[in-house]
Order: sequence, then structure tokens, then C-alpha cells
Amino acid sequence: MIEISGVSKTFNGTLKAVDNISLNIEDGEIFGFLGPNGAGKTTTIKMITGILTPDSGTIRINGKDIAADTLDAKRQFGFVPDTPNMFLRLKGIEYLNFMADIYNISTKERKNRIEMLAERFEMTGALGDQIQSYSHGMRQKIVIMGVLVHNPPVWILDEPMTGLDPKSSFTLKEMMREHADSNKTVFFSTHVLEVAEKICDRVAIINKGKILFCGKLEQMREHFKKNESLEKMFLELTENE
Amino acid sequence: MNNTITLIKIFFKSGSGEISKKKKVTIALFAFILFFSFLPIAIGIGFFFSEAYDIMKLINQEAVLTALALAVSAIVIFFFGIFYVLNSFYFSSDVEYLLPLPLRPTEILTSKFIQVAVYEYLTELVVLLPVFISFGIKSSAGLPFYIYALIIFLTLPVIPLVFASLIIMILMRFSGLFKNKDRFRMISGIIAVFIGAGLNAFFQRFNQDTLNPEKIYNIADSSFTSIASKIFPGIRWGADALAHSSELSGLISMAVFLVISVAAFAIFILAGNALYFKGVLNLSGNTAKRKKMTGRDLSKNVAKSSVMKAYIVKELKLLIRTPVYFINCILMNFIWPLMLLVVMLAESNFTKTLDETRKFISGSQNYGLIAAIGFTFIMFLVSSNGVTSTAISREGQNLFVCKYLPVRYKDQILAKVFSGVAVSMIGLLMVVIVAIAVLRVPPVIILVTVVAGLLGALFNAITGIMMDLANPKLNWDNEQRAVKQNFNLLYNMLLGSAFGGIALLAQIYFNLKFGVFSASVIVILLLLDAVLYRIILVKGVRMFEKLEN
Repeated sequence: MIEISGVSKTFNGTLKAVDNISLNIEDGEIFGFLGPNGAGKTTTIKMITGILTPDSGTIRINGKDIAADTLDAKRQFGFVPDTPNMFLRLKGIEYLNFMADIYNISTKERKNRIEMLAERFEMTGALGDQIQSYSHGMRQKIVIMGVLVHNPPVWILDEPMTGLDPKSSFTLKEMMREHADSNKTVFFSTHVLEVAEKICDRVAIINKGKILFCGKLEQMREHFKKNESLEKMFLELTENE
Repeated sequence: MNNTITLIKIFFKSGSGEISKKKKVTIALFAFILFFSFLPIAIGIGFFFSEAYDIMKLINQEAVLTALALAVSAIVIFFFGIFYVLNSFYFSSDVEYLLPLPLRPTEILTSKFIQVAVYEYLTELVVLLPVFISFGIKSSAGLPFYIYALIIFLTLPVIPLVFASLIIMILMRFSGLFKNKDRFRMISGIIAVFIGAGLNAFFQRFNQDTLNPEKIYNIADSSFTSIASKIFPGIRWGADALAHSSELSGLISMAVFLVISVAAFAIFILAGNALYFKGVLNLSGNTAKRKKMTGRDLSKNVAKSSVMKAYIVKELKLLIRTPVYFINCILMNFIWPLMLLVVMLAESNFTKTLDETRKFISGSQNYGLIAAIGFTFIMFLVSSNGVTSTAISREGQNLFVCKYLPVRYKDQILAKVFSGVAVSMIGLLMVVIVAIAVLRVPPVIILVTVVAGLLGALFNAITGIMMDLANPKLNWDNEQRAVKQNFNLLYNMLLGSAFGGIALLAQIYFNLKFGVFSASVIVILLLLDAVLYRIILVKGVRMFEKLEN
């Protein structure tokens, strides 16, 4: 589970990217983090994963404080960033092996997982090539595989569906469901409402650094009807697709 | 035409990026250092031609000298041109953005051609300008000479560049030779280094030969010049124009030279229209095999290792596989020992010098000095590789990956330091091989320099990463900028070389015994390394934590 309490982040002293947000993401749920472009989604995710330090507030992942207990907290999650352009000159298989080394996975275990993941994401033919030869979608897949190879309890995914073909997108959603059903946590951001509607147990909506809504999908629809500004947001989110 | 001018502006702007005040100072400093490192070569060439002029004047053959100068320049321009053209026309990242724009091939080609020509002017500043100056002064030439010289300076690159681009455009259109960008950059980088070493040896020889008219005439009128003038047809006319600048025939020659240059450029445009786009479009840069991985392949590629080892291997793989990193960080270790060899081999009485050197080295009273020279050279070598002084910058926009991986910053820094030391060890090994095989340096000196060299490499690796942690260059779209435009590399090289230089000066000044020199260098380095190690673990980690992009 992820506990975010009272977290803020300001850039250059003026731009308040994230403004005093608090969220609890429970075990066993897929949690969608919704908001238009520039709402503060990525900044929040960067703070959860230890890439940025919050100006105030605390973040705990499975009870480990990312600021105080950094390394243990980092071992709890796997992270798929929004741009998959990294380690381009490593071969796919080398990247997966590197990630498995970093997370201390045994040879046998990693071999089985890589085989299974390559099969499910149809990447067996590409593993021997350098990542720079991959298309955007394939790069996205290899990064996702790099996370799944160490089978972390908490998944944190920043816009994971972008660039995926329908089949891989379906596979990923399926795997997210399986993961949550085994009482683990999936936290992902999207600016596409439809995606969230299909798979999320709960969602939070962020805009201009503030959480406007957090709850179940049915509640969200109710909420939209009453609240005009939320309704506008809702329209924006649906229009994006 | 407007499009062409806009494109030229963009090419030069995107090369420099936005320039802050602080950066201006560093750029000025860099230009200053660059200027003074090429100045001796330029002055050397100037003096050579001025002496040669006196001698050739005796037999009224001074005109061959201008022909020689133009021929040499044209050939140098041609060789550089091959690389410039390939890089600028085909491999530069802007090509992908230009292709979809509604631009005619002529516009792209013309602007790229001018961009490359401007780079060549820098070459000419070193190779050709000194000749013009010394020739002008010696022959007390009038205004027409300088006007012709200026025109030739500006137009000389045209013909050799047309040749270079024709060759490249045909190759790129019809052969799969350079389909793989990475491989090409790697190979061309290595070739360029060897051409550099070759030219160096050539000039060394040249300088040592005593000047006599016959010899100079032979060189100048040799097949070399005549072949060059045959390949690059304008050269003869250009040389004629300069030699007879005060006569009508000079003016005619000048006109012919310009007509040939313009015709060459026209041929370039015509050929370019037919060849360029198709060649560029062929370049997908994709050489992936997409071979299915079997269970056996998988077992071969998948094996557990420690976090530290995995991280170091990753660093080294990226260094070796990224052409710019390979050339600037790895190849450097081979270049300098190789240069040392070339300089020695270029001596006209090589065997005699070698014998004398070996005799000097075997004299035990010289051990201290020899160890100091060896150590200084190694310090220069290990500090020039830039592995750690660009280690953080090379992460670029992907620095965030270092932040979310569950690896302590301390370990990440150490992995980067160790990969730097590992690369330095290649250089050290090269020096040891040359020292044992060629110079027959006694084992005890080898031992001391290796130990001191390793400690020095560690020292330099740590100072390098501290500099890069303090001021990394993270915002780049092209790997070249992470390394080549990174001043940390330069600063760390200066620091390492200065350290070696001080050791050498101290040895020369105090004339220390071998034992004393070795012991003090090793002890000082041990202390420094220990202190720096502590600093990196505390301050370095804190700096790494604070880095955000």
C-alpha cells in the first residue's frame, strides 16, 4: 500500500506543482490517478518513487518511508516511467538481466519470468537486439518487463498504455488485475478517462496540484453531476480521448 | 534562397545552444586554450614555408610552394570533409526533422555544404593562413595577392568538399556500407585518429629534414602535388593566381579557378538532387536481427551477479557501445601511447635515438627522473579519458533512473569511479607494454609507476566525478554534448596533468633519489585518495541526492 500525507512540491519557488495532497492506496486495488496534462501527476509519482524530494509531507510504501528508509522503500515498488527511452544501447535481454541483478533475483527465477513475460508481450524475437532498435511500444514493453521481472509488491506506472498496441494493452490490464487480485497494489496515472473506467477500483482526480476527488467510480459519476467544476474536468478528460 | 539562409542560421545556432554569461567565460577560456594549442603548429608551418621560400627563390621556383600549400590543404580538407559530410549530411539528428519539411534538396544541401565549409575554414586557419602570410611578406606582395589569397581561402574547400560529398553520396545511395550509424562512427573515429597520427609523423619528418632546394623542389614538384592537382583540378590555377598576382595572367588564373569551383558546386547540386534524398531515406539506422531467443540463448544471457558488478558492467557496456563515448573515453587510452610511439618512430635516425634512450633509462642514477616522467605521462593519460568527469552528465535526462533504483548513491558513485579506474587500467597497460617492449624500462620502475599510476587513476577518477556531480551537463539531446561540450572533462584533465607536472618539476628541482621520489609520490597519493574517498562518501552522496532534473 501507498500512504501519501500532506505532500507539496514547488518548483523555482513559485510554481506549486503539487499542493498538500493526501492519498491512501490500499492493498488489493488498482488505483487510477487521473488528470489533464500538467496537473501534477508525474510530479507526484516522482515523489513517490524517490526521484524528487517533497518540500513537505511524508510518503510511505508498504510502511517504509521513502525519505528515511529509502532503500527498503525503493525495493517495494517497480516503476514504469512515462518515457521509455533508457539504456538504449543495451540489448533487451541485457536490460532485463541488469534489472534482475539490481533487485537480487535468482538465475532460475529470472529465467522463468523473462520467458513467460517475453511470451505474453510477444517480445521473444526482440530480446537479442539493442533497445534503440525498438519502436516506442516495444520500448514501453521492455520497461514494463523490467519491472515485472523482479515481481515487486507495488506497481507504479506513469501513463503505461501510451504507445502500446491493443493486444499488449489488454495483456497489461489483465496482469494489473491479476496483481491486484493477489492482494497487491497497482497505482497508475492516465489522462484518459476511459482506461480508468475500465479497470480501476478507485480513482483520484488531480488538477493544478490539488486532489479534486478520490473514491469509487460510481461515486465519481455522482459527484460530477453535482459539482460543476468537476464536470468540466470530466469533459476535458473524456475529450482527450 | 531564404530557406537556405534560415537553415544555415539554425545549424549554427543549434550547435551552440543558449549561452549564459558564465558559459561565455568558459567558452572563451576553451577557445583560448584551443588557440594556443594550435598556434605552434601554425607558426611551425609558417616558418617552414618562409625558409623554404628563401631557398626556392634562389632557383626562381618559389611558385611551387604555393602549389604545395594548396595541394596539402586540399587533401587535408578532403579527408576531414569525408567525415564532416557524412556526419552533417546523413547522421546529424536534424536530418530527421528536415526531411518532412517542404524543403528542396538543393536548399538542404546548400546549407549543409556551407556549414561544412565553415568547419573547413578552421582547418585552413591552421594549415593555409600561415603560408599565405609568410609568402605574402617574403615576396613583399601587393594588394592583389592578399585579395586573391582571401578569395582562395574562402573558395578552396569547394572542390575537395564536392569530391568528398560525391563519394559519400554515391556510397550512401548504393551501398549498405554505412547503414549502421554506430559502427560507422566507431570506425571513422578510429580511422581519423590514425590519420591524425600519420599526419603528425609526416610533419615531424618534414621538419627534421634539412632544407635544401633540391629536396624541397622534389617534395613540391613530386607526384604528390601533381596527383593532388590532377584530382582537384582547380589547384594549379589557384597557385598560378597567387604566384602571378601582379600580372594579367594571375587575374585570368583566378577567374579560371573560380569558374572551376562554381562548376564543381553545380555538379554537386545536380548529383545531390539525384542522390541525396534517396540515400538518406535508405538510412533507417535499424540493423536489428529480430531473431527468436531460444531457451539456450536465454540461459547464456541470463545469470545472476552482484549489484556492484552489474552496475559496472552496464557502465562499461554503454561506454563501449556509444560511439562518442568510445572515442572520447576509451580510445584515448590507446591514442596517447600510440602517439608516443609515432613520435619516436618518426625520428629520422630512429635506432640511434632509441639506443641512446635505452642507455639513459638503464643508468640507475636516472631512475628517479624516469619514474617521474613515466608517472607524469600516466597522470596525463588517465586524466584525459573523461570516464568519471562525464559519468553523471552521460545519464542526461535519464538521471531519474539512478534515483528510483534501489541502489545506494554511494554504491552508484563507486561503481562509476571503478569503471573509470578500469578504463584507466587499459591505458596503463598500453604504457607498460611500450615501456617494456620498446624502451626496456627496468622492472622496478615499472612496478613503481604502475602502483603510483593506479593510485593516480583513483585520485583522478574521484576528482572527476566530484566535478561532474557539482556541475553536470544533463540537458542534452545528443550524446556528443554530454562529453565533447563538457568542461568538467577539460578541468579534470588539467587538474590531473598539473598534478603529474608538479611531481615532475619537484623531481627535476630537488633531484630526488628514486626511492625517495617513489615513496613520496605513493604516500601522498594514498593520503589524498583516502581523504577524497571520505569526501565522496559524504559530500558526493549528498550532492547526488540533491541532483534533480
